[in-house]
Amino acid sequence: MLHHPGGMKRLGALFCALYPLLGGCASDALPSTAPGSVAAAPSTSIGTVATVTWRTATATIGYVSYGTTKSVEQSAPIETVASTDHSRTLLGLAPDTTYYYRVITWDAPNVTAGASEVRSFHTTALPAGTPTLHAESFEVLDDNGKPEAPMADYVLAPYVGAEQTTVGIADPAGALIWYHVENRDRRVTRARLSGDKTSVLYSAISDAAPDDSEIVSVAVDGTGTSNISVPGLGEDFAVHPDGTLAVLMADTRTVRGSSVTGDKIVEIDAGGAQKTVFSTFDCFDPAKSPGDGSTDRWTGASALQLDSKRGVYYLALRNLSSVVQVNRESGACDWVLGDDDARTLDFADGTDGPTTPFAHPGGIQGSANRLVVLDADGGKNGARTAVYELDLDASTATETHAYDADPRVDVTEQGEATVLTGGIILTNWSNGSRIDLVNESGALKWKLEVTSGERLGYHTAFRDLYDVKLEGNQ
Amino acid sequence: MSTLRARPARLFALAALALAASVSGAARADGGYYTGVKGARAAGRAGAFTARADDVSAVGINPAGLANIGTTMIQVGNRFSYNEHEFTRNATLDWRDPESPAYVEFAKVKNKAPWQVLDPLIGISTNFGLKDWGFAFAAYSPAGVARESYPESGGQRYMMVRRNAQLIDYSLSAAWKFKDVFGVGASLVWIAVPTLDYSLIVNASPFKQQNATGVGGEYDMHASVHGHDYFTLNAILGGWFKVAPFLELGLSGQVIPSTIKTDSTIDVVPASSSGEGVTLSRNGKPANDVGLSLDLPMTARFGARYIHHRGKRELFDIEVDGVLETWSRVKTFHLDARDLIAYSGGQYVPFADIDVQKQWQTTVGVHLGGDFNVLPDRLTARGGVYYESPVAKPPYANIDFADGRQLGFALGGSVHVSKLEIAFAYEYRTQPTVRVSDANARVYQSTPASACPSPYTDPALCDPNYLGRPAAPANGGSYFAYSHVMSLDGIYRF
Repeated sequence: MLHHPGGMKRLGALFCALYPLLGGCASDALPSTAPGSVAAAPSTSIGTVATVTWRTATATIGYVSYGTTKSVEQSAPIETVASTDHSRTLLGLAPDTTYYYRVITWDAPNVTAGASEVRSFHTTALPAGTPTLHAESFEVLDDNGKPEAPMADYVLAPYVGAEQTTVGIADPAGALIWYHVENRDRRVTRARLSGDKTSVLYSAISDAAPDDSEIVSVAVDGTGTSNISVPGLGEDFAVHPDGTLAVLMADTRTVRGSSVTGDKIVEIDAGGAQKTVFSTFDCFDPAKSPGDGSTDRWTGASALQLDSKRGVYYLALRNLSSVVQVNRESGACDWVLGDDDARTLDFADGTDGPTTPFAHPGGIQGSANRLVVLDADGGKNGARTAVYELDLDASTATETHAYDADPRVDVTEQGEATVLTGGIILTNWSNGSRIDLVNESGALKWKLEVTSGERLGYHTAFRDLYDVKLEGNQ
Repeated sequence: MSTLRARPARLFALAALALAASVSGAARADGGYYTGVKGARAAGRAGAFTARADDVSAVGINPAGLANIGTTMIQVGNRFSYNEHEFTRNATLDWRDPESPAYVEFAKVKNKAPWQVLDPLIGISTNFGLKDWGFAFAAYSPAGVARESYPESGGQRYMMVRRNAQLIDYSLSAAWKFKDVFGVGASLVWIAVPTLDYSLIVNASPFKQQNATGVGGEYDMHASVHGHDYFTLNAILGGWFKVAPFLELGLSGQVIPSTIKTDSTIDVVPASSSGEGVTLSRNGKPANDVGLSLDLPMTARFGARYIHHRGKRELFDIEVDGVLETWSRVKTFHLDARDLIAYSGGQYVPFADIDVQKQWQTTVGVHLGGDFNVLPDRLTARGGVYYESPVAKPPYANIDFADGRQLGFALGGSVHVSKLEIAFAYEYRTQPTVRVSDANARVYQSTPASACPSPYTDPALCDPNYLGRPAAPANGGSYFAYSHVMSLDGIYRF
């Protein structure tokens, strides 16, 4: 009696071999769709980015599963266009770490999946001088007693040090998973993602030679950098979905015989053509609104935000302690809120308490009925985040809640507050070297500390490394 | 006839009747679509028995052979079998996450109920003193694998989870011969199906995205059908012709195109503990009656038997049989839901009919076997080999039956003690590996609540990853099966 299944199979195979006239063994196996020539290599410029390449005999779509164990628990999104030569960039890798990966393919016409064997590569260590970060999460219960959703965003920001600036992306765990070092004598104030989300853009301001200022574009996959010359570049810029840049630039005019430098919003399209959309001279008069800055930094525009769906810009004017909503199409000031005679909205106390006007605003985020401001000097305990409800019919702004830094921070640079999904607020305390995430009740949910001491420039928060969903306005 | 000679005969008859009484229940545990033949003598020749057909098993193989028995014969036997059936499903992608669909590999699954200990045959044949006649009554479960059972979470789950097909054939036969030149016979067969259970997992989701998984999801339901059909009629006609003292031809056929139509009920329960329950109704009233149809084939057997004599005794014989079975009648296992409505998760959804695609094809079998009389009237040895063409083309391969090509050999023998013959046989049967690519697989996940209409090309209603297909393929993978079969018969000739 035969017992061993393996033996049975061999016997079956023997039968197959002996019965060629009867058709041999039944099989309709197709040519393999499994990926071949599979290889991976970390980027030479960004050690936490790697590119995996593979080929398939037929046109397939595929993706890469990867992780620090052979169970390869993470995945990069699947390709959308079928081809035989494939390349996929892996993001969010830890430095100096062995990663395992496997390529998965899908032959759509034949509804057939293929997979490579599990392979490995090693990422490189972070370069010297990059910041060290520490993230900490805190459990916060909702009204039903259940834990609120944890921090899920990536934060892109400049980490400004004495010797160099690192433009980096931190993951929710506080790991620096993407970086680019700017070690020229440039002031970096803002980092954003490009319109197609394939590059990181950052401002590189030359205070010594303002005409040499530029916006630097670094490919996320580490394949290269390019520069967009923006003479007189100010502290902030925004990016339209079509890639058009909106930048702050100095606008110097002679007013009543004196030279006064205000600010303007200039759009730069993909071809490099510039168009001035707005100037602070359009809505403010240096005589009536002198502010508290010098004439060479009259309005002191500190931050620019774009609401592309509504077609408006929000402009923070530090020295006028004002925020303006600018209509992109007409260049008109829709409203002005702040401590200035040109204001069209007034601060009004609410039923729940008094409203404290902001002073020397940093980063802002506006919407049709709300304004979030990093208020550098309006609070009594240093910088704070203030949220105002706007009633344009009544021409009022009422403070709904505020959040003070604890311990106190006096923000003198690019502090910023951003509202994330779920109404939670991410506050970047800039020279406090810290970012806090609080809920609407002010409970701290998460914080990121730059333990190496660099201060933070303006940040961008987004979900999902591969299918970037930007948070807040741009 | 002396008392001494009659006593063992009576004892044997009594024992046979007692066994018959007991296996009337036991027989219900066996049956199924056919594999092999009944009767240890026929099995020992690998089924090459159409021309010889000289025991009670002739009722199902060639009833004309009953005329050659020439005496009264009681035959009681059983097959014991171990039936292994393996399936490893092809890896696939789980498209519920369309951006990073998980690559899912499946473990090999095996039949969890491989042992079949009761597969009986009991019958009596007599000529009632009429020299050229033979009559028989027999009850037997058709040779086959009654039960197969697989993990509910296994890769085969959308094809089948469990099957229990219990068939009993009751056969009344008569045969007549003209001298020893030729003979004819017929069996009237009453097929009773006391139990026909079949269960599988269906994807009951009405949502496109949830229909995109051939892997498993919260809408998976365990649909199990329980039914019976106590009366299906069939008939077998046969004949033989002795061309020469050394050459005999046999021909038989099952000639009525029958269909088993069960009265069944269906139970649908969530496959996972987190799934929503399902309530079935019709016209606003609770109902779960359905119909299940299974076509039976017609068959034709032809045998040519060479008989080698030494003196007046037969020394050995060799027979070659060809068997044609019209399994092409079986297009689907069709579950008629009779307009049932399913209610689950706050939604009423029409419960569509379920067709388990078969598209079987007519098969051809070749059987070669024979007997060798080692010690005349004392010991007979027999053996044989066979080949049967596949009943299913690879795209329609399924785990419920071993439906690929079948190869096998058999060894057996008989020991004669006075009028009692103890016949035994061992048969090894295998289905070589059948591989089915997902591209060609044509058995799909059952999605009775799907909004995707034929020809399944509307991207608004159908998952883009399976356009042109009703759902994800369910039967892509590799199949392998083998059986060890032991047959043991007691045959008493009066």
